[in-house]
This record gives sequence, structure tokens and C-alpha cells, in this order.
Amino acid sequence: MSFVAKTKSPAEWKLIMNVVSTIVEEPSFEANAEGIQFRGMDPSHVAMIDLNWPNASFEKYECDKEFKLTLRIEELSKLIKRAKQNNSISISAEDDEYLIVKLENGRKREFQIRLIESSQSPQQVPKLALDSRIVIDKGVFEDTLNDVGAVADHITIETNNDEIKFIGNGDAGKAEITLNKSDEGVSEISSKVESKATYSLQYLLSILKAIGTTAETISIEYSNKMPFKIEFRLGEVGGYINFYLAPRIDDR
Amino acid sequence: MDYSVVAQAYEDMEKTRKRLELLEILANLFKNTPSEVIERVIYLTQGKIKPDFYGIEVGMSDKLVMKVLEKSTSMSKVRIQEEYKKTGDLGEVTKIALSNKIQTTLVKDRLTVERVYSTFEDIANTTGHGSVDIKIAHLSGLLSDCTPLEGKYIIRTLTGILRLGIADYTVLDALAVTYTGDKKNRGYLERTYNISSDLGKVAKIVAEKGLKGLEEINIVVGTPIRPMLAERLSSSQEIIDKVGGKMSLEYKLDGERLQIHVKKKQVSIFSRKLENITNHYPDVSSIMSEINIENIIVEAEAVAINKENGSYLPFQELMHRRRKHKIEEAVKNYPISINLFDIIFFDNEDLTDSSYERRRKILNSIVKKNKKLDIVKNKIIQSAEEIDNFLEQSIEEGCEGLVIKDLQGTYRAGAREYLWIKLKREYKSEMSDTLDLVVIGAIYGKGKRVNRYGALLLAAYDKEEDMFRSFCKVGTGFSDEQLKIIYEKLQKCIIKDKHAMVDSKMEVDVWFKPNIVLEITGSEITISPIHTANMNEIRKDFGLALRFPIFTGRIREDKMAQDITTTMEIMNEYRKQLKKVIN
Repeated sequence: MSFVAKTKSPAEWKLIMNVVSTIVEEPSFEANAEGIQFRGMDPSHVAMIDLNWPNASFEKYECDKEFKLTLRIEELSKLIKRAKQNNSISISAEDDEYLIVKLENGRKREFQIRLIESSQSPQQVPKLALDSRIVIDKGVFEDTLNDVGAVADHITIETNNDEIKFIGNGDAGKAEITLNKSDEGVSEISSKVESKATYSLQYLLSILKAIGTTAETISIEYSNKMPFKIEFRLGEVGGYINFYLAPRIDDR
Repeated sequence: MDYSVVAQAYEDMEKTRKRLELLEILANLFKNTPSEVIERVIYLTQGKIKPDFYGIEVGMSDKLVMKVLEKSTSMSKVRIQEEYKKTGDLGEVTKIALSNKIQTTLVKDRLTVERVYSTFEDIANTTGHGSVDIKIAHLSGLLSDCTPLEGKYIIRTLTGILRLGIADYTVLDALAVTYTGDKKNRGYLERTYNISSDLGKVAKIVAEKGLKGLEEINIVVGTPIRPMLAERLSSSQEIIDKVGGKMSLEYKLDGERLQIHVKKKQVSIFSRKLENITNHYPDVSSIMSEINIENIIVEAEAVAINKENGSYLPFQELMHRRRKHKIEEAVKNYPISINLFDIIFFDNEDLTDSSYERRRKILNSIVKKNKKLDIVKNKIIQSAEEIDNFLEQSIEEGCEGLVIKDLQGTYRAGAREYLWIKLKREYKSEMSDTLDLVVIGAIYGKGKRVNRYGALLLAAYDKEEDMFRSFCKVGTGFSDEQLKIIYEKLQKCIIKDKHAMVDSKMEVDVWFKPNIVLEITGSEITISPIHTANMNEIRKDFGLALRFPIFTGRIREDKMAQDITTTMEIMNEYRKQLKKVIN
């Protein structure tokens, strides 16, 4: 009984470490024949990450039973950071005691970290039919968030047909950024109905920072007073990371 | 069961102080509680997750709770602190924070009593590296599914400030009403409570099996029983009037009351409040485990003693035992004596229905077999005067007073009745200044103090009669260096017999010419049957003595023996400081 997952470079692992650590400190990854999955919420149940990393994405992938791999993300993160860009990474486990991390490029480096007991109960992904969809350059979106962040700690997003408004209302003042379909960096704006909702900037900024430069465009979905969803790709073949964020009650 | 039902009952209880209304609300809550969760509801209502003797505490610090509030509500740190300052109650702060919550959550799970309880257990069981973050995560999870009202009581329970104003007896009443239909049946529940110390267990049994089930419950060695308590009277005459005939006077030692359970050499020790304090007394455990009897429950007073001369030290000295680490060191530095005063269970026999006389006899047989155990000093008497004399003797020996016990009395767990009566003194005279006293005799030291003196007999000066009258025996406050210096100085003063100017009834190993003067402090001046300072001035055949004397570290080389504190000064000090004791 064993689990082995090998990638050519540490890029995806680094992304996963960054993204997951924005919401949980002790994630439980599930490994099975299909690949690796993670689903978890932050302690206050405001944000969720749903991650799927299919077996075809790996250089080598073997898993003959289901493994639940719970660990302190800080500890695994430290090991992943030891890998150079051209190192291959192989993660494996034989029992629920240890995770083995092998970094290879000429030299062979092997690490073990202790697995811990899971304290989280399994999560369901919220079933959402969201009305508005935006596909946007990651850089443009992050820029817009930072604009709003200059005056407020939350952001109100308003869409109708071809136009999106990002509005910030803070004690210090107000910010309003308008994007049109024709603007550079905007690939898609579609809304079935006019939508308006407010979200915490802190969560959004930290997830975008975690994504870093790995994604060029991201797709965003949301609805009137409903959660916000960011979707971006993980690896080359069908892998994804979905990020969900609950709205704030109003635009106070 | 939804936690909201429990929270609403708490909220209703908070609005009334009337016992009958509290009882009604509580009984109503129990009625709405399925029997599978009644145990948990009881513990939560007591602000606990288990009875104290399990040693499990939810205890979350205020700081941690504020951190969670900051994280999981939108209230700022400054505002949280402001509200806390204003209300002094993190429960209220939580209620405000949750009412003003502007961040919604992705999922909402049902908040059940079962979930609240098991989360509390998880929080209590989380220890070690990274535990703070896990506790925060557990609590944030609960709060994200809470209404403001539920949040208020969850936080109050976690921080140990759930003050519902309901006594154990109200809970027992409510259980009797709910499960037997009649408050009169409380007595049956109370009996089970007194011998199990576990309201949750009582509730579970009566909910599942009714009154019949309660009869099956017996004393279990290893589970504490609620201690028998003493009523209080303020004079010996009142006691004679109340009790009459023969009675037993026992020293009321100024120590910690221990309930010691031994089950097949496995020792558990419980405090008066029934916390498990086995860890504080490894020395008691090792001595008790030597007793070759399968099952024992005894009660004892652990008293800190002076290493050299075995005299009792004040209660505060025992506090050195209340620690988690380096307990072995504390055991060595702060030795105790174990003074047994009652026995509840002996060799598979429940002794609670036996008389005091019989129980004391059994205790004597145990103490005879084990030399490391003491038995609390007692005296069988029948007059008021005998009570007063024995009381003064006990005070001077470092006790708090006496407990007077009915010879035929049974052991009434959890009851405070006149079978036991405590008597403390009415007045005491606290010391405000140091005294200079002269050394007139000494007792040889033991152990570390071989070739030194273990305790010195000190006297005050009676100017009128030009005599030195014994006033206290001191063995505390000396450094090794000072012991050596004093020993050497005293070698030159040794005389064969008591000095002609010395008046003392004490036995000592060596007598000295009154010469070396030491500065001494003490807790108070007491009436003494053994010391001779101011003899017969306050009471016939009694002098005055210094209670808990300590050497300050100053050898008064500048003072001659005739320059020391006089007995007249002592009498003035005694009168000046005499205050009514608030018992």
C-alpha cells in the first residue's frame, strides 16, 4: 500500500502551499486513484478552497488506496521551499505516520514529516448558480483591488451587461473603478441579472497574493448578495483551484 | 438537542433571582432535554464539562477569546477592548459582536448541545505545540454558527463566568420535579450526589432508571464523596448547651483537608472542593500505598511542618505544593505531616453509618501500623472549661481552633450539621513590630542541622522581678551561615542547669546564660499553657507566647540581655492588637 506523486518541478506544490495556507494551518489532503484533492474552510467559515489535482498532471502517480494526509502546512511548506526550480519533487506515504518528500536533481534529498490527526470534518462545496461572470487579467484585478484598498477594507462589486463597477467606501473616503468589456485585460463580462455584493478585501488580497504569477487570467463569478468564486487552473490537464468567499451583509 | 433551548433557559435564569422561578426554568429545561444529553446539559449548566475531580478544564483565556472575536466577527480589537472594559463580561461582548456581524458565512451548521459539548471537550483536550491555533479554530467554528445569545453563553461557559446563581440543591430539586414528579424526592437524589459528587451522573441515572436506579449507587473508592462539614458556634458554653455529655475535641489544624482514596495501592487525593490534587502530594501517595489493605478512604489534614523540629507552620507554606513542575523539590523543601482524622471506607466496608468512636478506633489501628502517619490530637471531655483550655493549647501549637465531635455521630457526607462543630477563638492579637528576645535554651538539630541547634528557646525580660520568662521556641528564618555563627556564640554560654534568672516550664537539651539577643517576628501573641511570660495575668495557669515565630536574620549584638523586649511591653502589645476574630 503506497502513494507516490512526482512532479517535474516544485511550481504547483509552491502554489498549493501558498493558497491553502491563506485559510487553514492543518489541511487534510486526500489522495486516491484519481489524484489529490483538498477541500477546506477557514475557521470562521467565510472562505473555502476546493482543489482538484488529477493523476494525469503528474510525471508519476500511484495510489492503491485512499490516503488522508493531514499535516501542518508550515512544515511541508518549508520543505517545498528547499526545492530549486529544476528539482523534481516526489511526495509519498506508506502509512498514516509520515509523509516522505524527495527532492531530486543529481543529488538525492529525502525528508520526512510527521502526519497529524485531522481535526476538521469533511466539507461540502456550496452549490451555487451564480449570475455574473468576469474573466480578467490577474494583474488588472489585483490592481483594482489595491485601488479600492487605498480607502476601504471591503469592496462592493456591481455588474450590469457590459460594465463592472468596483466601489470602496471607507471612513477616509470613496473609490470607484469602472471596467468595460472593451478595456484591456478584460476578456469577458456577462451577467444574467444585475448583481451587487460586498466582500472583505483582506481575503481577496491574500488569495491573489498567494496565486502570484502562476495564473495570467482568472475567472470570477458572483451573484447578488451571494458568495464570490475565483477559479484558476492547476497544472496542464484539468486541475483547478476554486476559492469561495462569503459576502458581507451590506456595503457599510 | 438545539443549544438555543439551553441558551434561552440561561437567559431567563439571568433575569430572576427568585429560587422558585429558577427552579421552574431549570425543571422546564430538563423536561425538554432528552435523557441521552441530560448529563451534558447538567455539566454545561454547572459551567463545566466534567465534575472537578476529573481534572478537565475548558478554561480559555480572555486574551484568546478576544483574538477569536476579532477574527470571526468584524469587531475591531480596540472596540472589543472598549466593550470589555465597559461590561467586564466577554459573553456580553460576544453578543454585541455577533449582533453587529457583517460578514456572512459559506455554510451554516446546526448548533446542538452535543456539538457545543464535544467542541468544549476538544478545546480542553488540545495541548502542546500549536494548540492555541487549534483552540482558536474550534471556537471560531462554533461562533460562526451561533446566534448572539448562544454566543454569549458559550463564551461565558468557556471563560468560567457562567454565573447562573443556582446551587447544587436547586439542580437536585429540578431533577426531582422533572423525573419523579415530586420535589420531596430530592433526598434520594441528594444521597447519590453526596457519595458520587457528580450531578451529571445523578441526572443520567434518575432520567434513565428513576428512583430505583439511584439505590444501586454505592461509594466507589477512587471517586470522591462530598465531605462532611462542621457547623460553627462561638463559645464553649454554647457547645456544652448544644451537645452536652461527653464529646471529642479535635485539633483543627491549619492545613489542607485531604480525602485520600487507596484502591489496591493506587492512591488518589482530593481537595475539600473535590479537585484531584494527587500530584501535589507524592509523599502522601507513597506513604498511603504502603498500607496493606485493599480499599481505604480516609480524611486527613496535611500541615506544613518545620523540617528541624516538626512544629506546624501556617497554611500559606502549603502553597508551595500547588505547582505543576518540580514538585519533587517542593516535597523536599516543604515537608508536611499527614494527620488523619476520619475514615469513611475500610477494607470493603462503608463506614459512613458507623459511629465516630468506632471510626476513630479503626483509624488508631492504622496509625499504629504506619509510623509515618499521625492522627489528629483529640481529647474526650465534658466541661466548658476543658474546651477553653484545649482551645488555647491548640492555638499556641499552630492550630486554627477545635472541631468538637459527637461520639455517636455517623459520617454524613455533604451535610453541615451539629454532629461536628468548629470553634475558633474570638480574639487575636496581631504583631505589628519585631521583638528582641534572648536565647535561654536549645534543642539539638537533626538531619542537615546536626551539630547545630534545631530550635532555640527564647525569653522576654520581666523587669519588675528581674527574670527572663520563656515566650517562644523558634526554628525558622535561619540561614546555614547564621546557624553556624549562633551555634558557635552559644557554645560559650552553655550552663549545666537552667539559669537562676530563667523561668521556663519547657524541656530542652541545653540551657544557656541569657546573653545572645535575636530579633524575632511572629504572627500574633497568644495565650499559652506552656510559656511563662505574663503567667496568670490574663488567665490562671496561662502565660503569653508568640505564634509562628521567625528569626529576622538580625543578631542584636548591640543589645544586652536586660535591654530586650519586656514582658510589660508584650502585655501592652497583646492588649493593643487584640481584635475580634471574624470567623
